[in-house]
Amino acid sequence: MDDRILSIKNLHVKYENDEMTVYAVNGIDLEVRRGETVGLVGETGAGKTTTAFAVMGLLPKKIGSISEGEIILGDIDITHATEADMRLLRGNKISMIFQDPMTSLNPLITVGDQIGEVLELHRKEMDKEEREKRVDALLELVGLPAERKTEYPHQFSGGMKQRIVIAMALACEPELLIADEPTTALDVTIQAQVLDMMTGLKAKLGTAIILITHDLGVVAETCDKVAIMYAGEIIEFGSLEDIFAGEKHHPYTVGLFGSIPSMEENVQRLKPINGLMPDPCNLPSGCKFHARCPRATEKCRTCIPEKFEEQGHIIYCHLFNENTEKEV
Amino acid sequence: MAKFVLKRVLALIPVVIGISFIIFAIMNLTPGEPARLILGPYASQSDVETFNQAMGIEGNFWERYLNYMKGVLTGDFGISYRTQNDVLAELVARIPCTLILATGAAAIMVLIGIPVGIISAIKQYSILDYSSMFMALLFTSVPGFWLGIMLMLLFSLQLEWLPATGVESWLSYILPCITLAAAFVASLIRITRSSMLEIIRQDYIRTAYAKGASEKRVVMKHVLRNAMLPVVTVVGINFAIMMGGAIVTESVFALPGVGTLLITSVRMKDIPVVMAVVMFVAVVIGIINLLVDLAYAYIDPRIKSKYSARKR
Amino acid sequence: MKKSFLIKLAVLLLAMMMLFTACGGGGGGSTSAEENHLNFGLTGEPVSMDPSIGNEQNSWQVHYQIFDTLIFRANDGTYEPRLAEDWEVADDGMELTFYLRDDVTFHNGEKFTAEDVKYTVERLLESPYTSDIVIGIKGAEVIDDYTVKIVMEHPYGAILDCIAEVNFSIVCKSAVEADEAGFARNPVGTGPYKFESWSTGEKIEVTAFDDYYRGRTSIDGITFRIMNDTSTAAIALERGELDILPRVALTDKNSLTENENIAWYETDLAGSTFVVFNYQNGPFSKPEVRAAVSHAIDKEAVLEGASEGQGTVLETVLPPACFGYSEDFKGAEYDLEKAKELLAEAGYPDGFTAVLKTNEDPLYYKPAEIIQGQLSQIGINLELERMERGAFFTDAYGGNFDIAVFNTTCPVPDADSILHFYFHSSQIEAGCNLGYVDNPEFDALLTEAQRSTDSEERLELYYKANEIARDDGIYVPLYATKAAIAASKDLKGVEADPIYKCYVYDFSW
Repeated sequence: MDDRILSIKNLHVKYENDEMTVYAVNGIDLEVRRGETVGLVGETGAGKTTTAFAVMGLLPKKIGSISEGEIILGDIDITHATEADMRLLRGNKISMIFQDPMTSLNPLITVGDQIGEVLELHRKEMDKEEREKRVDALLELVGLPAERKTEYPHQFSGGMKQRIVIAMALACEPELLIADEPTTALDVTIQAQVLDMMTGLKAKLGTAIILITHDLGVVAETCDKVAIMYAGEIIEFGSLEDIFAGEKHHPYTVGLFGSIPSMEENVQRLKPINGLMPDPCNLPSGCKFHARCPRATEKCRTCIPEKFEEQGHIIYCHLFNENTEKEV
Repeated sequence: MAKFVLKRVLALIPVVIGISFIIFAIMNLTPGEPARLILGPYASQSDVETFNQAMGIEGNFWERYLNYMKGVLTGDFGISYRTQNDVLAELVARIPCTLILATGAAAIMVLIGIPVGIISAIKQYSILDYSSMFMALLFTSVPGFWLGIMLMLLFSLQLEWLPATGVESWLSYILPCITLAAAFVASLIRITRSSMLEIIRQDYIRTAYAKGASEKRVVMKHVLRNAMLPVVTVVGINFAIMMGGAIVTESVFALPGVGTLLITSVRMKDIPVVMAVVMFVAVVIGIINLLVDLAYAYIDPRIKSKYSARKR
Repeated sequence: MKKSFLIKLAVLLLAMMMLFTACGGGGGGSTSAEENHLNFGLTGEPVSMDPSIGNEQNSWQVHYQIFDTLIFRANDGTYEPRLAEDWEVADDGMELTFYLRDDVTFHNGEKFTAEDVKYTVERLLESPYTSDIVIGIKGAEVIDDYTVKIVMEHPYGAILDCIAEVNFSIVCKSAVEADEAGFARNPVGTGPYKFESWSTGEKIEVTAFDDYYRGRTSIDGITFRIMNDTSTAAIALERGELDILPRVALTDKNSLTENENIAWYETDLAGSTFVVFNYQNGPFSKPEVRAAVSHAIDKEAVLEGASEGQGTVLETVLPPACFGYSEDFKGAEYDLEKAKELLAEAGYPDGFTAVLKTNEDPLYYKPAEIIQGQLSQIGINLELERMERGAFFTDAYGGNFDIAVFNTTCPVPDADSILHFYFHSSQIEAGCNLGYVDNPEFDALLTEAQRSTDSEERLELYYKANEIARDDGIYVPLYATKAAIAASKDLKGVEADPIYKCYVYDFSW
């Protein structure tokens, strides 16, 4: 109980305007414990980023809303928090870093000032000198020379920029860091560096991380637990072993792993999963994956799968709950 | 940096020369003799010749142009065909009025245009946004002449709050500055708004929010400064236009500025005066463009390093 | 940020508005009458304070106040002494002797003598701006300090009018010699007001000259305010920023006369609008065609359409204010049938097409448009070519047109100044004879009238000349519009004048 940092229960998020409604997140449960790294994996459009925004309270105000469910951070109810409350949390108790480091930093402000801004916002008791010292320390923490804090973002490479972003995110030692595809825009060697650094920091600071990615390789390197999202639902959740080495899997997970090009085999063509993710405005009945599932049955089309749990490994698929029948 | 400035100033010279040539050509090669217009209907052909000789309107086009430019290089802009007064003295006497008018109008433009543009952007699609866009459209469409006279009728004649004509006190400049600023305020509102909207969509704004910054802080510290680049350009351009082209406003309010000087001289084909005014305006525009570029470098460190990088 | 900023801005604006009302409107509280000052509206910036250069209305308005001429011509044609107490015209008209006052000083304290007159005359002879007022003058001779003789090459019937004309103002020789170019911005004369300052584009200030020989003027000072726009000037007048506005736009008559503080003075303009033809080339070179045109034009309609009926229809090109004007002269009658007959006689039974040139000034194109409409009724189809002002005058003076509508004013109110300059064949070379008119009989009458000094004789000669002009279609007269002055009701002594002459010396509050 105590070391549960984040608890998401039955979260539904939708985007609504005059013309249509997008059901982005459709009832997910997720827990993150202190010091844990949870990978949130799925294709583009699965609802991963929306989940992250919901946690941060950064859903676009007029359009996005949490229609059902709750998010609890520690003992704070985020679903019903005011904007003012959220401001105190962002950058302080929870931080988020984004995908493209090239555009994540304000080009007109020095990196030192940008990192310092987080401290200005949340560590008001620090005076200028203390802040500067902390900024220096943070830069060194991420492997950058402190003297460079007077330089501007354009004077740094992509990888360095992402480190600065990470420094900003960790400035106030948050309990939870949400990293939305932090290395996708970086080339592979830099990616490795940044991931190394992140795991090192995690060890040092004990920060819990939700790592959003579509790259299973990254997941393998860094995560303790993995949640697989599809069409706004977490269809499989488990430890790293469960997902990578386990025997039971959701057919989608099988498809994901199957699409990874193999280093050993010599194949002509890659093996994608047929079809596309369903239109979030117009979700199918029953199991949302049934249209693309090679093992779908009539039941999959009409009934929503029940939760199957085995020692913390959760799968939502009719293949694993043959005993129960449930109408839509 | 200094080298950059110097290069730009030097680059202005061929531009001014080019403009002077074009204007000289137009004024000299289009029909309409200055002598006839200035001397009046009772002048005989010999009078016209006397006049032309005295004013140096003889010789072919190239001789006249070169003579003129030679004079300019030594600071002699000739004498006005119409009044026989020193052209440079006339021009210089008119500059303060136009300068005050342009500065006042620019101040109004900035003080109203930028805040309204900012608010419009932040409260996009609100009533405030729609009404400020509407006002902007209204003021661009209204001809300056009409607006000036209307303001004069209302504030000078009916309400008697402000003087209608002349330059007695700073009060005399209020209506003209408002009239001149009106159309430009509109363009500034629009450019500020669109620039702000573009910046608001940027990733680093999202980062700022993610850091826990309030909307006020995000706007003031992050959005504003980044949005200012195109705005500064527009302010600069508009100011330059005001300096050279406040003709209608100056006429309506009877202000002794550069604009009224230009109109009178063009109508009477008072070539030396027209040349001097046009070259003056060209120089002003060139300098303002340079200042705008320098402002860019000040605002955006990426540009500053580009300029200094050239040095290395 | 926005809210508090907006509030601050609103408070600032409100404070500024209160400041204005506190400052009070208008000219800071006291009126011109109370200050015994006059705010005089000019419709444009004067060209020059040098009478040998400033040959337009705005310059003249200032000249009237700061200079004197030898004699003064009243609107009824009589002459009054000014700098000359008395004068004699020789019988043969070849010499004019002026007996000058000996008690006049210039604004700079110098004594006025015959030398100044001689010097003035010589400058006028040299200047290309003032040819029209030195016709026939050969030179001037100083007889003694206060006697000067003007010697003629040939007698000129209107010579006294010329000498009375404002460009013949006497300048201070020593002041001009000291700085000729500067004199234009810093004149020295003998008039009731002395020049103080000229703020370019804005205003000219003059103040009362205490030692004026006719006695000090009533109003202490005049500020000539330079306006560029007639609407602005009218508003300034209504607001009291101006006390008098000569050449007020006739279109403002209705709104200004509604204002009970404003008085409107108008009379016929000493000017004329008329049709000129290319006398030598093109379809209008045939006298029958010209006669046809003169019968096809309904002058009343042109006046109505071009000037809203404000003005007087003319039977000759001479306006009522000009010497030579005859009330009982009858011009060509409006007769469309006759016009068509004449056209057929000329060989154009079905009419023809030609170009009517005009420029962007409504004074020119409004009557042109109406003429175009009227002539189409007899089959003459005119294409209206609206040109830029400068280009128009180049073509007009270059004889490069078929038919045009022209405007003129006569500062020297004598028939000679219009008839001779525009229609005498000698002026073809000089360039003023627009249509290259060459009618020997007409020429002879004009020359005789010009050289005669007998008024009766001159009137007869001009009458005959106009008859020839009518029959030969040398011109087709249209109308003289009105000359109007608008002024504050409290300003006394203002009178309408055909050429907008305003002598502030005669005004008082």
